[in-house]
Amino acid sequence: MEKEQLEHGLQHNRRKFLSKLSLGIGSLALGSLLIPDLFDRKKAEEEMFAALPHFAPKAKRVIYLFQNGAPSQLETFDYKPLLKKQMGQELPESIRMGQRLTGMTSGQSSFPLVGSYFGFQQYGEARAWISELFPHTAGIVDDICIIKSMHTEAINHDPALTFFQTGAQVGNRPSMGAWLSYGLGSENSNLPAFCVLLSRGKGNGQGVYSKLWTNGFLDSIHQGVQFSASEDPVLYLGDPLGMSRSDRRKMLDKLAELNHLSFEANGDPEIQAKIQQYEMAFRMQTAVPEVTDISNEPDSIIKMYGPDCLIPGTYAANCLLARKLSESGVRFVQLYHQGWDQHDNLPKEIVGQANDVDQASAALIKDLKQRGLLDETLVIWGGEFGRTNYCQGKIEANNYGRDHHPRAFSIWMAGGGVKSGMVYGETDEFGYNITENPVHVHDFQATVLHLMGIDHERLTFKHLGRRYRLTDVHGEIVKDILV
Amino acid sequence: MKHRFFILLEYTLIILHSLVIVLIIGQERLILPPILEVTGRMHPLLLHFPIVLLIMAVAMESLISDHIPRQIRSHFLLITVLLTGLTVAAGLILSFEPGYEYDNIKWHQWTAIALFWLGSIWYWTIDQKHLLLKKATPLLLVVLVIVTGHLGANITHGENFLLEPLKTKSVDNLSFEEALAFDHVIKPIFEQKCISCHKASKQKGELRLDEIRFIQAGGKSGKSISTENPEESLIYKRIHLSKEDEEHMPPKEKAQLTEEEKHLISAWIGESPEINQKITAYPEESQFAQLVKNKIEQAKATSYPFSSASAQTIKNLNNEYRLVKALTPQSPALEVRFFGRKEFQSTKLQELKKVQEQVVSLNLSYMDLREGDVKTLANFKNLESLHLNFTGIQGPWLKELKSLKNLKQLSLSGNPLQDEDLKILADFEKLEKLFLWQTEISEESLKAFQRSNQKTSVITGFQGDGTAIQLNPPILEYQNVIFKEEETIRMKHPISSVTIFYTLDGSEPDSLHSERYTDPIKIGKSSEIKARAFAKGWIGSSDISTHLFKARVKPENASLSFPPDPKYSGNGAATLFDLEKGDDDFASGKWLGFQSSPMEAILELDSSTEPRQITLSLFSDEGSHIFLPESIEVWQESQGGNWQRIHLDKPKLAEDYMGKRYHSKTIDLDTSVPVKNVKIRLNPLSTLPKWHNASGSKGWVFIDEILID
Repeated sequence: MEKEQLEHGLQHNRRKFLSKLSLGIGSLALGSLLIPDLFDRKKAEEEMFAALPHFAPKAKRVIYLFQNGAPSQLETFDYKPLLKKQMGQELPESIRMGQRLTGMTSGQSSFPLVGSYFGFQQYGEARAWISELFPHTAGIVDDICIIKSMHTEAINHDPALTFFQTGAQVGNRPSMGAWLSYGLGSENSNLPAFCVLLSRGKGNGQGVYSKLWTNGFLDSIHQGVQFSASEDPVLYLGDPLGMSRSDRRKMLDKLAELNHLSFEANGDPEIQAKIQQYEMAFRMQTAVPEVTDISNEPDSIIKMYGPDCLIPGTYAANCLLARKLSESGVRFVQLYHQGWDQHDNLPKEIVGQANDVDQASAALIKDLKQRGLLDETLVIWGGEFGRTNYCQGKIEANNYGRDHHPRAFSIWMAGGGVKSGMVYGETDEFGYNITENPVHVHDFQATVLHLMGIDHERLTFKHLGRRYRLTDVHGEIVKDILV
Repeated sequence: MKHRFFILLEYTLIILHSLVIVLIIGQERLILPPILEVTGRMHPLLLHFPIVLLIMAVAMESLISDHIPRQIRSHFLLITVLLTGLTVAAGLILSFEPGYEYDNIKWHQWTAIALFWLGSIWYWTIDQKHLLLKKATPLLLVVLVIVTGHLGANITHGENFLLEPLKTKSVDNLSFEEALAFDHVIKPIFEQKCISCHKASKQKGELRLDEIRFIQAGGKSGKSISTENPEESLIYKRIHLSKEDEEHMPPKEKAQLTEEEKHLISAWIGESPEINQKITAYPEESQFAQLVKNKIEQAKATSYPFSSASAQTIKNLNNEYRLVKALTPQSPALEVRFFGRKEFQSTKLQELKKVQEQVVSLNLSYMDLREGDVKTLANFKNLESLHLNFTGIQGPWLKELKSLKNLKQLSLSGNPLQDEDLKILADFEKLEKLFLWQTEISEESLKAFQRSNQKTSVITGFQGDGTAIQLNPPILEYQNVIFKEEETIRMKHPISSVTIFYTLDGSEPDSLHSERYTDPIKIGKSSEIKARAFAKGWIGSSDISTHLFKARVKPENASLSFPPDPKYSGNGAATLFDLEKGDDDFASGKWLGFQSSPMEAILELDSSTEPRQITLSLFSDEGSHIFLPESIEVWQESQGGNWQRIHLDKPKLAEDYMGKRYHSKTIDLDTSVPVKNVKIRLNPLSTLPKWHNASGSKGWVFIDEILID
């Protein structure tokens, strides 16, 4: 731990390193030996930022509607009539090909195929199959690009989520929103560049943790700021009772004076960052109530998102808030809707989950479109992996369940530089393996960065002796889905 | 007397002359030792010395010869000529290496040799008084230096290197219809990044990239393109190798291909690269044609008739509430956004005067605009996209915007515009998109406008699909669930057009018979408040209810006949009178739970406080086996000391899992006699109903408060 702290200090500021070692010239030499680019670091970083964005961005902002718990692709966008035909029959080993199982079905002696209990229909120019659970999504099919060939490396929720968000299954790496905040900054300096909104459906849920929106080794200003459904959307932002805004101003001015003194004395740049953060919080005190107030939204907007959007903390309310935040220049809005983990009781639970998200997700697309913002906003809808084509537990007349499946699942993307009215990738008849155009999580991340005007190989941060990036050492841009 | 060192140098000069003559005559027939090859490769380094030194020598001799001793000038010239000779020799050796065609370097070679010879002549004749020699030689030398240098640079950097910035790039100002695949798209890329090494005059790897036939022919390593297997093409492979790879092209120290250029080249290789055809001749699904189209469109979009504002000006205009930045990297065009409705003032817009030429996109949505601001907007002549949603802008003000001839996109949603204002909007000739929802313009007028202005697409937004949807219930606000004298209750709804109706007796509210909420309501007794929201165009909400309890009187003394279950025992009887309502965490200690024995509480009241009513606050959650009691009994002690049952009822048994719910039960006391001791008995359900998963076992009873009024 101490070693890491030292290293962290070194990363931040050479002056501190030199003074800590108190060896004058000796430590200077030692420092440059231990960390060869100690003195180049700032320059290298400046050069990297000067080149950003690397090319003209197609999207300026991202809204990521994360469906936490992993919605089944077989009840949403991947229509597999064969599963219905072969209901109850064993999954052939030629298809499974030794795929590892989770602890939840590893004890199961049989893997009976189960088809969707919900009907599918084709919609739009692309004749995309969409399940009857998503009538509103079917209505915007010509505005979205459905990717049916996503695959991931993790098979359990936490590593899979972490992988999607940070590019690595272990924690401590910066989240996608943090990388974008680091690379592109905020458009509106009165609001955080990276905001996080949580909601929870009635279905079987999986937790979300702040490590999913962490800044990792990046500066703490890049961390996602969680908005809560309570009266204080951003915790600890409001002034205590009896404190007026002018009092707060005076207090901050005085504090800044002291901080400047301290900065002059030891030159730690973290102090400057702190002063800026206080100032931003002060501006957020007016900006946040303005952006979270929905009382001025016209009836037509409320009806579009559905009346749930008036209840703080629901997915619909978060979609509406996401639109407002994005419209106000927030670079990355991350939503999580929990409750998609249907190991059991799938037919009942998925109806509720789909009800929660279908109308509001579609409304978000329509709303952005009618504001002329869809062209510059990238919207992503999807979970962390897919679900098995065989039943977990027993198939009953009105009940079945599906386990985790990393080999193939569906997501959709819309707006900001993504082709619309398109279905990309294909899976086999069993909906188990990808047969065409696989998209790995790193490919997806590279594509998102590309749309934002960033070459994923060039947005890096040096930490513990090596350069890190969101896509680690992988990632191919999915060119076929770009406009 | 000459110093011995300089005599030695003079001999060296003579040897150099011999070497140069041998090299000229011998040419490639010579077999050179490797050390000389190294010398040859030093040519690009050495050549800088003669250029500088020759010009200095000329300057010394012609301009300031009086100030410098003759001997120093002479020695300087000797060194200069020597280095010239060395450079020439190195150049000759280098030219023997493969990749250099005599035809292309001959002029450079011979001007350089002439330079060397003339310089030497000058050195040996410097003391001659011959006027022509004295005046003409230096002049000729300078001319030769410039010509040689330029010709040399052409070999390494490409023929057009020097004047390139003055030329216009071909593809960017061509129309899509005229463009040829190789000549206008691929060749310009090769010219910029590849041809300096792969051209007639310098064929590294024996490859030329200046014409299709040479590209097809390939080089030393084989064919450079393969039409059958594009990804196996050498060009494709080399440009996609990692930059650190030896074979990566262009070499890592040279200017690299951009991603876009790589895409273009890759797509071109895949789609009949052997024909230099028009882009329009490619099939519709061609990726190459699509990329070219995008490139041309982008070039068009980024060419503006104005120059960039200074970086400092842009920086100064940026602040927390105003974002000013280039539309795309390197574009002179700017986009401006305003944030923070409360911070906006007219001056903030006027401050943009310095960049009013460059601003092409301006977003003022949600700012409060006045007529004067709209006048200011008229100065931004190059505006292409203007967002004025929800700014309170009024129809007649729009006239001011007429001078914005370049406007392609205009957003005016959420403003009080009228039908007649559409006339003004018809005048924008280039307008492609017009956002007009949430205005006061009628649907018919919008339709008529769209019909007569086909070029502009009018976005009228989501109007609702005709089906009414249900409102969500109102929000009830109050301070305390349990109050002593009186409590005020407020009702709110986020939709402003909503009317709220309510009841205070637990009955279902409706919009006909119930009270309409206008002002905060004062509640003076324990009540169950129910409210619903109604609005035109919506289905009325479901009801929301809350129990408020009045607790005027506290018992003198209270005891439980049977202890509660140890897991849910709270503080015993005291918990029932602590005026603290429990929440849905029934294990929090605020609730008392009974299963094996009934809840029986005996209260000792002070009759002078005139107790009138008892309210019981109960909880149910069938999933957790918590039901309402099987029966509720209240007994009152008569004056004679006999217990009399004044109340008995059997609450309705739940028929399904209903989730966590709160209940209250109010019972009037017999006030015809002074009230002293009261006994309350709640009997848990003796067997859970058949539908329950634990059917047959005993039910639980949970109570958190007994309130006395």
